[in-house]
Amino acid sequence: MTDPTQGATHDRATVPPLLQLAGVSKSYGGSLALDGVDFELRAGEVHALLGENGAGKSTLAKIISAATAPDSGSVLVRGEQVDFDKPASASAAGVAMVYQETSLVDAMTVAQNLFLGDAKFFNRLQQLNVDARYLLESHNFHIDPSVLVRGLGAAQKQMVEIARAVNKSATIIIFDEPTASITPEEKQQLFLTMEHLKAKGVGMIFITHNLEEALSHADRITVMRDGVVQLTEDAAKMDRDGIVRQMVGRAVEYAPKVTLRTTASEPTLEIDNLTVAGVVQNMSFSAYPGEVVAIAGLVGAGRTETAMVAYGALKRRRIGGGTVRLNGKAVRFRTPRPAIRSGLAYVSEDRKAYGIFSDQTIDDNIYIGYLGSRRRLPLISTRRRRRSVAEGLVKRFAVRTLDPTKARLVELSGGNQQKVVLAKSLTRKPSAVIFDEPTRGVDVGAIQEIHSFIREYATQGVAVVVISSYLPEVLALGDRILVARNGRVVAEFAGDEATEESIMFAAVH
Amino acid sequence: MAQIETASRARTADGLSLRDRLAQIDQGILIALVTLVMVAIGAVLVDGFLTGDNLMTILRASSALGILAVGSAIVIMAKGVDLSVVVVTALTAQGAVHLWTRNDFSELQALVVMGMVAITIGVINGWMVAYVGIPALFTTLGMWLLVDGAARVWLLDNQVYILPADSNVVTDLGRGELFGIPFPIVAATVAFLAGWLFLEYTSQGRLIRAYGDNPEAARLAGIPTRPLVVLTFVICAGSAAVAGVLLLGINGSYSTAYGGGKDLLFNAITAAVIGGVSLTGGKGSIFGVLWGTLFIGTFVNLMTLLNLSVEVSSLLKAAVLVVALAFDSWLHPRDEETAKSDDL
Repeated sequence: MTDPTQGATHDRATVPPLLQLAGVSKSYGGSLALDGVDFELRAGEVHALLGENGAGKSTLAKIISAATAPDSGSVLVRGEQVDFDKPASASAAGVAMVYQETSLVDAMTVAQNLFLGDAKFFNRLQQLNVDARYLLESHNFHIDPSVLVRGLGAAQKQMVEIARAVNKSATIIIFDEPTASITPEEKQQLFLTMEHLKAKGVGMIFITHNLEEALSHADRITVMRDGVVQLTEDAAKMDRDGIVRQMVGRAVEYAPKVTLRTTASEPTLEIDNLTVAGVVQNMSFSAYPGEVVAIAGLVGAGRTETAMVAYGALKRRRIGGGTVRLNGKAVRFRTPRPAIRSGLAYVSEDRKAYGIFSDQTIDDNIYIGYLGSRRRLPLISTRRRRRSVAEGLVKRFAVRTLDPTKARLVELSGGNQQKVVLAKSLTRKPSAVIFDEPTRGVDVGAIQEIHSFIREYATQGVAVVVISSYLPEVLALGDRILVARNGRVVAEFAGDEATEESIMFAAVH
Repeated sequence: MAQIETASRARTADGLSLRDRLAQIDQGILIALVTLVMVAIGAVLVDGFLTGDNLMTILRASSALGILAVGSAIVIMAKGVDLSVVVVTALTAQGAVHLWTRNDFSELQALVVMGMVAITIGVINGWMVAYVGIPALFTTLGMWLLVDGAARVWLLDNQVYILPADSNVVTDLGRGELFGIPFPIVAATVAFLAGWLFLEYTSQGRLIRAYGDNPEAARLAGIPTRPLVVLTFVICAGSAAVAGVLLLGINGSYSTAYGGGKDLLFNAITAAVIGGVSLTGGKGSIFGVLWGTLFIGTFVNLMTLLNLSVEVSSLLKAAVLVVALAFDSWLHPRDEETAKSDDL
């Protein structure tokens, strides 16, 4: 798919690169996010930008799209220095950004979104739709321009966004994690579009966590770490291990599995025929003490909703039927509080929205989790008391920070935040625990540590459920691997029998 | 990994912008400095400002405001707001006088009954917000109008209630002294101390702050969030009742003829906000609220000494609140993008 000579054809000294950044630095609240970054994008190339969370990829993208201004350094577009002071001037210079959470207006139609911002005061809807269809078809996107954006899938939304960018004659497009939430078929469609744009001479920056995609679809790869560019190299000359070494400064391997499950025991957590209107259809599975059950599947397969129901976090009127049994007893929790006290823990997939108190210190975050698991709230809560509750857990989950009594969560890296979330959710040893996407947005180095914590719980006889859309994680952790699709479990594999292909096949077909 | 992180931390320190530096200072200290500067200016420019008597007047006049500001700050920290304090303050003061002069209640009985009414209003407010799920702004606005209307129809028939001469308790509260310190100042000091202890050293206080920071995360962590929200409204209504009784004692009467206490509500919320209690919840300290209160008290006193009309003085106060809000969002932008991408 990738033609390694493609980049080279544009590599003539006479033609200035499409985009060039020289010595760009940026600091936030005193901490350096970018440190003297040099970056170059040629016309007609896909340039992958890799790095752990907090490596500075997003900051770089924000500077290019003028969402934020660099402290020092220069940005050149086609050899001319530009001084973007607001996003509008960046888009005038041909820079567009395609976000992972798209920036479309949900309540408007596709056509209205496509021409948003440059529409006249009065629009003839019909003409708008015709223009939109023409634009979409010219990219081979088969989307009805008259439907509301709300009804589109993630990939279709991305297509609309790409079409909009190209329509505004964008020549530099930044893709921020475009493949994070779309199906394999949709991915192929996206990569075809990127090839198509490449042929038109558009330069694309492809920010991703998926090393394989970067290797197979990018012309060049830049790896960042701690706000510094580690290297820029032709994709054809790189391999996975080399990239990971540059990303984390050392090689990372997944820990081997040790299964301790005794087959005779009763299941700790049992989900039986659970139905939630619209998302979960007769979901059934069980988790036994001492095993890790990994549930794979695409986003929207109903896995998170199932976990939320079991945990009492979903409104009861949304539950259409089915039973949840914990330690053999049928339970129906109204709120998470009784669930926790009965020994069921849930670690949410969305750390920022459901997991952390970003303005509170590490100690306070953990202490709040501790209070949630207690029967009565103690009246007095001194700093020393909070410290003594948090101290052991900070050590146990290897949270690395200067001072846990002072450091607020917003100041931590993704990996450390996630460790605090684990510590906070597991102040008491549960009998069953559900980890929902436990390593999403976590730096590669911390993934391994978090996996070993999860494994440790299973070896202590806890029934562990891991919901993950990341196949290497599913394969690394699952003693048993279930695949969910359209709200039900459609396949089950023993941990050592499953392959990425067999899981993906079950998840999609 | 440990080395990487200490390394990236160590590279901080230098090259801070003015905004970064200001954002690192506790807003309570900032507003304290602003207040002291204002006092200094007042001392130089305004006759009779820096006298013992006048300073005591400022403190006395600020005491009820301070108590109300503590209650309001606690509600705001839990992502709420309570507009009905206006009517609770007035109802407590006027209702107590009414019950006691016309309904054969003793002074103490009247106060206890009105205190219970205030707590009930707080419970209903909290229940509507936490359990029914109506936004605090509408709940408490509705409660304000409802209670105000009900009181006018069935209970109160005057706009001005004069404290009877045979009052002991309320007069003592408003005019009395404890160890030579006017009692309202003692009461306000106790309220600030209690608020500070509550937010810093009780589980409930810590959890209210956490709830304001991230309500969903608090719920998922197993925190009984709804009772906590009710608690904040009860505390606020209670503080409003105490403020009402104090005002009745200080002034010897309570009148709803001019604005009916809207000024007090406005001042209390302003005091909390300029003291660093963010309207988005979860942020701020009682120390900041204390200085916010002193700022407002000093400001109002200066306006009076300068003989400015009520209109001009409220205009200036509103300007201060707007500037404080703008300053707050400049200091703590919700994130870098929203700070810049307004014109996209």
